[in-house]
Amino acid sequence: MPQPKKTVLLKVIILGDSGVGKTSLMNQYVNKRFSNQYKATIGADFLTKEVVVDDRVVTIQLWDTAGQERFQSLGVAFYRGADCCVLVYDVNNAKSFETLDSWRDEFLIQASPQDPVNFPFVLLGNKIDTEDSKRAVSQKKATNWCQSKGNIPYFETSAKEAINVEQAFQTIARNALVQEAEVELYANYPDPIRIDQDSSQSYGRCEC
Amino acid sequence: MAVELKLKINNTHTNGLVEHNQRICLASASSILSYSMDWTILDSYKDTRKLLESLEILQQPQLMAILGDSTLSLHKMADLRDINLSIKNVVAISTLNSTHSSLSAEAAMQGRKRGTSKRRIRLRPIDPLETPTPIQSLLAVVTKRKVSVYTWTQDTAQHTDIPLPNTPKLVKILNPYTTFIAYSASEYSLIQFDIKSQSVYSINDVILPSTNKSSLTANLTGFLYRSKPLMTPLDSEHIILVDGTQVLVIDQDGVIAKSTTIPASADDIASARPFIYITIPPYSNETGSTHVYSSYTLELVQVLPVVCSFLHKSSSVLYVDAPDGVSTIELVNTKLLIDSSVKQGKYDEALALLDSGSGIDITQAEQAELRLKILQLYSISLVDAGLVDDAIDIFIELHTNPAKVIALFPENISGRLYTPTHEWSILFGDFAKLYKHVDERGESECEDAIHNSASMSSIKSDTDSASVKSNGTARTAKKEKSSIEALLRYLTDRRQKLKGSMSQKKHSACTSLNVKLTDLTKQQLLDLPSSPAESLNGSELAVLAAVVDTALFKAYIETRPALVGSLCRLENHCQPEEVEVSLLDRRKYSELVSLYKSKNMHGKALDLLKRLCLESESENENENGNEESDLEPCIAYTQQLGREYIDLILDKSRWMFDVNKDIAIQIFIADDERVESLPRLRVAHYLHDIDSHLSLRYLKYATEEINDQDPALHDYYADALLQATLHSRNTPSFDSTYASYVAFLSRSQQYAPKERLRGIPADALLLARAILADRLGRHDDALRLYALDLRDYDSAKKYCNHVESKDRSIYTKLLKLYLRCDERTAPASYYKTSSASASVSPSPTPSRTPISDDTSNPLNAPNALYMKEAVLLLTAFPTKFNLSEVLNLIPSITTVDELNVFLLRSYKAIVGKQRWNSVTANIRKAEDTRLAAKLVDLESRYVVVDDNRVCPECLKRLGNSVISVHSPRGQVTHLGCKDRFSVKLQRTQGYTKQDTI
Repeated sequence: MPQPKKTVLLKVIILGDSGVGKTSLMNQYVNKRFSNQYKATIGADFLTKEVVVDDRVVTIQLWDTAGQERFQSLGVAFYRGADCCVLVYDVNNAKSFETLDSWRDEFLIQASPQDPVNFPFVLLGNKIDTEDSKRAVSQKKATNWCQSKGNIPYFETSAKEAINVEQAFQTIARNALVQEAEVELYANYPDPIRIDQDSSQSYGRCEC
Repeated sequence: MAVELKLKINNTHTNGLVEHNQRICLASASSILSYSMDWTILDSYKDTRKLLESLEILQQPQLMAILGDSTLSLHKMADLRDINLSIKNVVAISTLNSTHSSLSAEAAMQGRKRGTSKRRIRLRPIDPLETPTPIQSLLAVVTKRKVSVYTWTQDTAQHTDIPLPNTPKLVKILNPYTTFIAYSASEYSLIQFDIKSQSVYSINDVILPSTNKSSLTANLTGFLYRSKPLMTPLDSEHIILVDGTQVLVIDQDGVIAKSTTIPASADDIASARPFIYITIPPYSNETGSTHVYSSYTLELVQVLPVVCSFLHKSSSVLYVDAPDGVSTIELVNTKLLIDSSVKQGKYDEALALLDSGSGIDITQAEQAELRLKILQLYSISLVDAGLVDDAIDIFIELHTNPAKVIALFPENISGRLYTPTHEWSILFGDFAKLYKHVDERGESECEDAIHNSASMSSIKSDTDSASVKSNGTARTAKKEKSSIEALLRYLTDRRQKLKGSMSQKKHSACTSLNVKLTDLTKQQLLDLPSSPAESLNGSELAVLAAVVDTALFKAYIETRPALVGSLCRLENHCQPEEVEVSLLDRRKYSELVSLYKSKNMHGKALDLLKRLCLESESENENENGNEESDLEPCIAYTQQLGREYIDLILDKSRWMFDVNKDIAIQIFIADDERVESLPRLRVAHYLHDIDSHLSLRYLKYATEEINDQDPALHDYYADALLQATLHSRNTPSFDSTYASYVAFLSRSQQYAPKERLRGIPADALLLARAILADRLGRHDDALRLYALDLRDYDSAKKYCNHVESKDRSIYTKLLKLYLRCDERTAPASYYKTSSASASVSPSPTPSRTPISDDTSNPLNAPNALYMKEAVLLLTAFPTKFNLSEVLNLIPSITTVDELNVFLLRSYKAIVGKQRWNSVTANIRKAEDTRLAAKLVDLESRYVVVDDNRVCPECLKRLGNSVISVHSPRGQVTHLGCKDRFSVKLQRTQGYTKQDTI
């Protein structure tokens, strides 16, 4: 009996400063709900959602994390095996943008992915529903940052008004799927056979 | 001998037995007997069914599942007569009481997803004092073509029906997400549930070696051996099943982990760590027996010469139904078994033996110590066997000193800590000497050891063993790589733990920077305590953090060069001395700069950047003669240093100005908080030493763009501009320089004008002087400079307009200047007199000023130009002058024609003013009248005089006599007392009647 195709589970980790709207984005995406009340996330929690990406049904496992340092007691096991990392900042808070670098570096260190240079990140600038005068980080600045980090996809979102959330997560899922496929490739890829060295030993030679 | 059969109740046979809550329940025909642990009967319950087959406990809902006569009933534990649920036509049941939390579920799922079911070692015996984790109870019931799974958690109970094409004969729940079912002795399937929802599941067949044969033979063999499938869970991730004469250990994904052969088909199977028990009925000419296998190596340990069926596994014993009656199988000589396992290098078996807890006569403390020692041996053996991942789990669990762990790795990572394999035992103390490295054993033993470790580990994948045969070197490389991967996991984990503890203890700031690993010997590092990060003191934490980060760095250099940058940029405890060499060797300059930056070694960073910049410059020069070099990185780095590094910035940026002044100036001119925070005066002085133009450019930026209000800086800027102006005299750039000087003087309010004025040479830069004189309040001087010295009459008028609010006679003063002035009046002499008058106060009567005296002299008549300006002034602002005063001033030769406009408008103004005065006078009068009327109104009052009212003056009753009312309070007196009282009243109010009138 042929082995049935395994369901693809994509592990996505959401990182960013406290209060930028990580939990809200996730709730908006998964539950289509938004609450104005702030409640700090403690530790981490995950929600799952089934989505169709390029005609494939995949399960996204979204790991929401605590932005507040005092709640960051998660072990490296939490970061490992991630297929995509979503960095979130608040467009009205310049500091949350400046810390993106260290979130990214910290994630890379903790997760130590096989190919750190091409690991998929996605940047979300949240809370664009507020008035323009409050905005502290321009779209250009964010785009420049993304370019300097190897063309990270960038979305300006609002969890409150559900702007761009669906599109952003669709991209996240797609990029995670690519990463997942690469990991599988790494995991199942047998050692290369050195043709030049010992091909004769491995296969023998026809003597006729 | 490893186990022993002990008879408990003679001649009693049963199919079902459970031990729960210090009680043993035993199904005997149609009743259930309760025993205490010493087998005295406590209670009994009679059921309606004829034969009870099996008993199971569901801990979460506190139910007992009783299966008998194909009917399953759930009874309350407290009272077995209370039946909760009853299901008919039940073929088989299985239960599970698990403490799986959602996170471990995630781990299980990950394992499943990656296709590598990782062997989990239970490192710590379950602590009875630990807070109980919520228990989840599951019950799987096989009925016709269906399996029903019931789940009870703390607050919910749910149930899922899974329809099947056939009716299975046996069901076993492995863990909350995996259930195995068996249709026949060779047809097994597994049902995998989703973590979040049990209603989502998938069913897959387990592919057994025998299924490779033709299905007919398979069925036939199944039929020939026996028709009953056998399986039993080994641990939460592995299940044992029997396929003919093969015993297979299957993981939760249905993949065969290991297998062994038994001499004949089995009758019953049970597992109780560390052994697997298999009953083999009499075959050919052998008598029936129970075989005991090690659950780790699947080696035959012992054969008990009886056939028994297995009833129930409790924490320490296995209950069986032996020919003589209900018995238990217990471990004996456990200490000996442990020792022999340790000697043979079967550490996991030794641990399981130790955990089984029976048959050992040592105290708990000794047991814990022994555990620790075995675990350490185990971990070393795992590292040696290349199973670093598993070893790392142990190291993390034991909080092993990271220095010791790192020492086990190759020299390029461990550096100074490197310890060759044959010395490993020394690292972990005396007991560890028991561990012998593979090399030290004989050749044959070596084979054994490899075999042992290979069988110990289910991890060795097929590809791995294939590569062993084909390509030895590739295998070593792969092994090394995977071991470094595992080390990365360990180091990042430690790093986070240490970081957490350090930030809690707030020691990081003071100690981390001072730690120098080179000050400590290798032994000192290895002797650091192996304890949780929370219990270490500040300096130990700092040292360990340095050890971990440095090793992490080296591991990254080997395996993930791209991550070196990330590590360097973050706060880290790498030892710069150890790390910088390797970064330099690999030409990873930007990472090195990041490292210096994170370590606050900015001097070194800037030196390196300088070197790089100059190198690239010379390269460019060689290649295409292009001298342009990229100062950008150096400038960007310098910009972010900020105020506290000003000495360093000034010291290290000089060369950049030598390369390109225009670009280098950006070090100090940038839209950045840190750049703006630099001490500006110092920067200005510094730039002045390089090039005064740079200094001016900077000062302009500081005063205009970032609006610095420091008086010292403004003074400095003014003086610098003055110097530049004076220097540029007689050069084309004079005009622009002077213009900016003047512009600055008029714009800034912060400089000290007196000193600035003193700096200007006597006869030069008149406009600047005028501005400064104005700032000093010497309006006359300023006016004179505009009007006479500069002959800028428009400016003079504007100045009058500007100063008018402060000095109302300013227009008259200007007029006087025009009228009395001639070429002979030396500016200096005038300067003296008027400055004296200005410093007192502007005199309101112009006739007393020395100017007016002079003008009365007709000899001193003004020249025509000034006269014309004077008339223009009078015509433009006729109302600003006193007519009679002007007429006194005007030289007698002036014609009325010239003054016509002035006189007319002045006259109109006077008349207008008079009219205005008369209007206001009348308005005031009217207002007076209105107020008087209001006063009368306010003063008139009603008073009530009754029998009791007395005159405040004479203190007699008022009665019907004539009265007088006094305002404003309305006191009432006799008319006769009026005058005396009024006087008194006025005295108290502080005025007399005359005043009011």
